[in-house]
Amino acid sequence: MNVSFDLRAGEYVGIVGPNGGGKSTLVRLLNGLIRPDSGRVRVAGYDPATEPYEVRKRLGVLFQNPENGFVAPFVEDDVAFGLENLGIAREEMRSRVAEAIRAVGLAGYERREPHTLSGGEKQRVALAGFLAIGPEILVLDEPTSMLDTAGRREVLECLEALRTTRTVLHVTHHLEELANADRVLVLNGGSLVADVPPERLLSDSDLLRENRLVLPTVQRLALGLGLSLARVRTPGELAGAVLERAARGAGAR
Amino acid sequence: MHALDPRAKILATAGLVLGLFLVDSIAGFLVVAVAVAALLAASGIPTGVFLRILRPVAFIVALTVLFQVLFSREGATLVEWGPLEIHAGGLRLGLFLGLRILLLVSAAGLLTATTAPVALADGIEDLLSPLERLRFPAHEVAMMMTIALRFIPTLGEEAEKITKAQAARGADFSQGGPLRRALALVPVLVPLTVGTFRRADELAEAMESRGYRGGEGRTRYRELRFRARDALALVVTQLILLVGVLA
Amino acid sequence: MRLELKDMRHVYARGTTFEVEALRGVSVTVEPGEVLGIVGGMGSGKSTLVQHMNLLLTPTSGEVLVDGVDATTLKRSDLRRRVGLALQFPEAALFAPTVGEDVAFAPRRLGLDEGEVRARVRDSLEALGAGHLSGRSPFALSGGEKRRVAVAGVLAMGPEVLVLDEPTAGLDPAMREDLLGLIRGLKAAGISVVLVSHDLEEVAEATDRVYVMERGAVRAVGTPAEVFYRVADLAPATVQTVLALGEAHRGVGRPVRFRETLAALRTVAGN
Repeated sequence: MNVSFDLRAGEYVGIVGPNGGGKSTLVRLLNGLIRPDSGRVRVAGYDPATEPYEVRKRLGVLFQNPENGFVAPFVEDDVAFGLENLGIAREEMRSRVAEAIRAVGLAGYERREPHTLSGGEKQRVALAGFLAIGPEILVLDEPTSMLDTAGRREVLECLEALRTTRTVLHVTHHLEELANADRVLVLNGGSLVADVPPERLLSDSDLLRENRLVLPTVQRLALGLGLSLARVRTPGELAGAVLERAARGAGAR
Repeated sequence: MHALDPRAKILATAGLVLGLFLVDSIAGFLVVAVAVAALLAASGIPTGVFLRILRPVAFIVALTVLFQVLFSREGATLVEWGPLEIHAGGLRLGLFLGLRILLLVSAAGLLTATTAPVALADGIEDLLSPLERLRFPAHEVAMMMTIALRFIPTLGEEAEKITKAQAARGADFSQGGPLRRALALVPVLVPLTVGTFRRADELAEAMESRGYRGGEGRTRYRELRFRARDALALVVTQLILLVGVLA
Repeated sequence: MRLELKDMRHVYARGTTFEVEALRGVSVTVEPGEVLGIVGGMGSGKSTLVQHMNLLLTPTSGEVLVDGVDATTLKRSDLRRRVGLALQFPEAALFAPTVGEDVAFAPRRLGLDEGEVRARVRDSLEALGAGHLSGRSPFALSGGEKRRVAVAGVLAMGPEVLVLDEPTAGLDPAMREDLLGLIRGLKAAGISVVLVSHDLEEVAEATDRVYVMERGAVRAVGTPAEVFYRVADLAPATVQTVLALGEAHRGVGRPVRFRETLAALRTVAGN
């Protein structure tokens, strides 16, 4: 692995790349699940290899599989798990858990059991668990890849709401999820091959191809039409750009 | 009865189990049996459901009783028929043993029928926690129980899914004798086991990522409150037991 | 083969407090040689529905007909050979020491001789782009590789209809191209495909007809163009873009696939 980068407070950074390229390894290096053979990792000043507990208070991870991250038999107990680990007093736990559950839109789900929940709901519970601890940094390891369309929408909506108040590192295959990112890191074969703003990534077909990245349909259509990708993110915006081009053409004639 | 503190119920049941081995008279057994019947009535569990709990043990009980009756040589001879002899002592032993097993299973059944699995796990954790001082991993044991409980429905669904997938490929689980059927389960058990180990890995990663590092310094979200009526229930059951033992 | 499901009702956990009616009178037909899409949200019943196609599930009421014959009268193993079903996340059922052995599981059960079994294993792995994995352990493969092996295991039965339940779920988007290629190949070989998917782009590109399901009933059926232009909340990005053109989209027809949509947009833009 050959990667160097800095993440500043409040940044929203995406990480993309082919499977096996190092994205998951990077996530696990950041929270101390694995330690580097060489090099330095510092999270909020702490080394995850020697002080993982301190790092994990400040950096939370949302994993890919919502099922296997769910520890407790009930929703509210699972949300409380992280707080229990921190030794928080019971009274305070109750209010933080209730607040977090409400923040992800799952009020009323407190006594539900995990096997009765959809993938999107389970990921939101995981998010609530993260919010209850309240770390400053959120790392997302392909959080929507195992969800269906509705589940993805649920989770992305929740994320939209809270990413502005935190530093976010978002690993994903779905480039459209990174539309609002400040920059995107491309990891391939364990090396950092690019560190660019999202629009630049989307318009560089060589970069996309070399790293087995797939352009979402809207962007592919825009490229095919020769439109700038900077302002075209949704079907509505694409349609608008097409109409604009048509009007200009008609005007010129 | 369902709302009683699980610790009281666990202790009461434990006491009952212990006591049953000390009861040594018909009167004593009668006392305990009446007490268990009263508890059963108080719990509101329909008799049909309860009998179903006892069904698996019925065979063992019958076998044990028969064994004692036919092969014990204690006490006066009652019947002699060729090599078979039935003695009074044998009858007594058989009866007591049978009653013991039945009452034991009834007590355990009552415990699990009136206590949610999670509450049971909490109760056990609490009762075992003083053993932490003797280096007994009470917290880890409790965590194992909670996680196992949480994953039972999930693993059940997984097993069903895998069974369906293999059936779709032509696997037949209903054919042949016991050996054939056991082998037919390999395509279900292997992936289920491998999958479970992988789950365990992912779960461990998730737990560590959320700051888990064993029971040290850990607080608990769920609360167990031991109230007057729990103490009362415990004391009353143990007193009745004492009467039975002394009878 | 023509596969018909008529008036399917399926009730789970009948008579208990968990009773739920997953299918409330659904009729679906799979025409010979077609690629059929089935879409719908969670709880729509699409997975429950397709599990009736090879009678993994039996309906509470309704009929399953294979070329007009009641499927329950057919030999079960025969039915499951002719209608191959790959469930969601099928790689969870991989179990053999090698990939080749695992894929051989189904053909062996059909009583074929070893030579034929080996040929089937080789051909189906190749069709899934996994021919090079034959000697590997299925547990040491990546997610995408495992998925290919699992589907090959079903294809090796030589079905007339192949049902794929969410074949690209959980995999990276690059796999979609491979799936589309596979479906094209199958269609060319005369095998019908039923594609159950929440990925509308996939369904838009690959299918001849689509059923839209909602809460256990069929909400709409027709060609992708007919269905996606009618059901407003369930449309792939291509259709959404065309609809967003408003008035200007009249005269451009109802494109659904990528290429035809691009051409239509070029026309509107005056390129």
